[in-house]
Amino acid sequence: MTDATIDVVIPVWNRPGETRNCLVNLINSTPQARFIMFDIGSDRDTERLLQEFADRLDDRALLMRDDANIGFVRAANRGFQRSEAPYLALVRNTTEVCAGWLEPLLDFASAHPEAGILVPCHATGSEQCRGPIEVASASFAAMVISRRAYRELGGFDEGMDGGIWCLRDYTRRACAGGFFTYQVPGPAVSWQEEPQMGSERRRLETLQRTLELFGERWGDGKNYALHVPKGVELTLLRQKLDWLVKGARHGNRYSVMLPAALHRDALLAGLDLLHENVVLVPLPRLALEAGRRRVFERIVSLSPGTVPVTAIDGMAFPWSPSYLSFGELCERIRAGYPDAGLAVSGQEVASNQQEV
Amino acid sequence: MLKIFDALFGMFSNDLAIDLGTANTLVYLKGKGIVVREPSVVAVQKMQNGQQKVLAVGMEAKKMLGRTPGSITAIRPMKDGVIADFDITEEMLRYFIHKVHNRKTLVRPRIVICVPSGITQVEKRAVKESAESAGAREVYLIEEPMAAAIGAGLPITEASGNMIVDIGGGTTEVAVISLAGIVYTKSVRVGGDKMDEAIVQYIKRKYNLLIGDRMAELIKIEIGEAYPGTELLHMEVKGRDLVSGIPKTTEIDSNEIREALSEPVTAIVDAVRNCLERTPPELAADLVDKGIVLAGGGALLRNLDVLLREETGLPVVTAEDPLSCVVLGSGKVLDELALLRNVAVSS
Repeated sequence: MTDATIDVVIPVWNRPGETRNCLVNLINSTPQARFIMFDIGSDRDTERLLQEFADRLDDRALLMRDDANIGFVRAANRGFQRSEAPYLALVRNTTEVCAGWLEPLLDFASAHPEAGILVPCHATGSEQCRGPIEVASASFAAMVISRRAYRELGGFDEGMDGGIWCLRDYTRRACAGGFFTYQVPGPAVSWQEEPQMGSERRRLETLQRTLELFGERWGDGKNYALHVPKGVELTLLRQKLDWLVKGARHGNRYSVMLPAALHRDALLAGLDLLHENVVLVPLPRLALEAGRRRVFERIVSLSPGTVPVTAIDGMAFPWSPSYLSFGELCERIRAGYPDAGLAVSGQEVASNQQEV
Repeated sequence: MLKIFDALFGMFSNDLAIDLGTANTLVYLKGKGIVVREPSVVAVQKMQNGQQKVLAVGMEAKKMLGRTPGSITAIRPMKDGVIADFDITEEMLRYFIHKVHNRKTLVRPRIVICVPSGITQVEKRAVKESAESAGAREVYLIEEPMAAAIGAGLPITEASGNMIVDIGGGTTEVAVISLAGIVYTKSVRVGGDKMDEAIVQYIKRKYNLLIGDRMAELIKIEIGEAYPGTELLHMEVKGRDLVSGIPKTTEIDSNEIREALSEPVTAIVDAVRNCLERTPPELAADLVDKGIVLAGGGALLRNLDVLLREETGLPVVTAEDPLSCVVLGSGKVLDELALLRNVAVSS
């Protein structure tokens, strides 16, 4: 048993230059951590580099090696299995962290026991990082998992694509187990986009298989456009958004069209930071009816198949003859919360890992 | 000022691609194809003042191997895929460059030279400087497996994985290529030369018969095999009896040569297996469909493809012209400067 607060798992396959940068930054910026470096069949240069770091770090490092390249996800899972600390982190060997990157994540996690998975902000992201905000998936570039959540969830599903859907699946499993995924603002970390490897046909096959598995397990997420009429107060809006957050955790996406004044108040109250899949869209203050309608049409054109919903039962949706009432939407959201969700998915994942 | 002369002489020079191999050197002239295919051998005479004078290069020099008087030595300046003798390599390159330019002087061509993927920065620099001293205006180095893959017609710019095994005279290069880059490569210093040496040692051990490198190479070509074939081949071998010291002839068969070659062949198979194990799973999946492509002179060893198929379970094909794959690939990139800049390695 180590006294580290966090075990950082770093799967490594070659790229000695980037790996050195990653490790140096991690070691300098994460004093309370133990580093589990998992070498998946790297060349001699990288192997020697990892050995050097492991020797220098002594008890603070655990160097694992597999002669075969078993892939990032399997390496991450095997690294997690060897972790003992109250928190686990997964960092790619191309990621560069900076001083203080971890503290906001750990502070948030200790203040919010329901926060099972935490991701830092991306340094080169086009949008400014705000939050904390609940997100639909974590990131393999850098993420932190609480020990409680890991105990409940186990590792990633190795039968999936090893990319975004694998991460979404993990977040969904976490949700089903009562743990949520948050992006927490703080010193940003930078990482490179991983090149897509393998033939297009093979990648399509994998994606298809993953989507089928994901759909079978979690169903398909839907897009909804809610119209909030004038006169709705912030408290009522908050209640409605709470429902939407529940739905967003099930993969649904909501565009909430609000009068401009209410939108401004909602931003001030931080209601735009509930979930990344609940987006508040202001309706233009001075526009004619056609201008407002265009807002709805833009949402539909971006996400075909969007279902219109009226936020207040009994009031018609202004730009579509067919729509759902908010009550009907709540029924749909409620139906997405079966009691035995996690138990079933946990078993499936375990069998998937065995098959792989 | 020098650059102006370079550009001027460059106008009268033709771009070249050179496969500077341990066993053979091939030269590709842009617009004409392969114009030189000669052994990498240089015959030099030691002068009284200690200097060396080049007497013959290529085929002519190879004929002298083992048959030279004391003052003349036939040298193979490349060893294990890298330059072993810097000055002689430079002379050899100069000879080939002038030969393809019909012995015109003041030629300053742009040259692409293939190098093994496992060589060090110092070795790369040595190759580059040799070529520059031999008269090159610009030198680009490209890694042999990359050139071989291009020469074999593999779709290297696609995201899919392509595996090439280039068995040369001094080295065997195994590489997985995707998106015009080498994702993983393994270079082992085993090739045709090690096979010849293994045959020499085997015959010495079993028959007390000393044979020369040329005889060993001939045996390898005639009856060498990596995996048992349908018929047993025989060959008469001439050499010197180590007990009596007199010339002797004996008959050997392909089973014996297979046994003799087992060590270098196993090293090649291990390199391929190693490369497959360490290839990212996403690309390894592609290799199941596309298989392995063999190139280089060693690919002509009988039933090597069968052995690799047996050992890896993957489809294995030999390139159309395995001996020329590397030079043809580097010749192709001469025509596509963008690709050349993409695949060239820094030195």
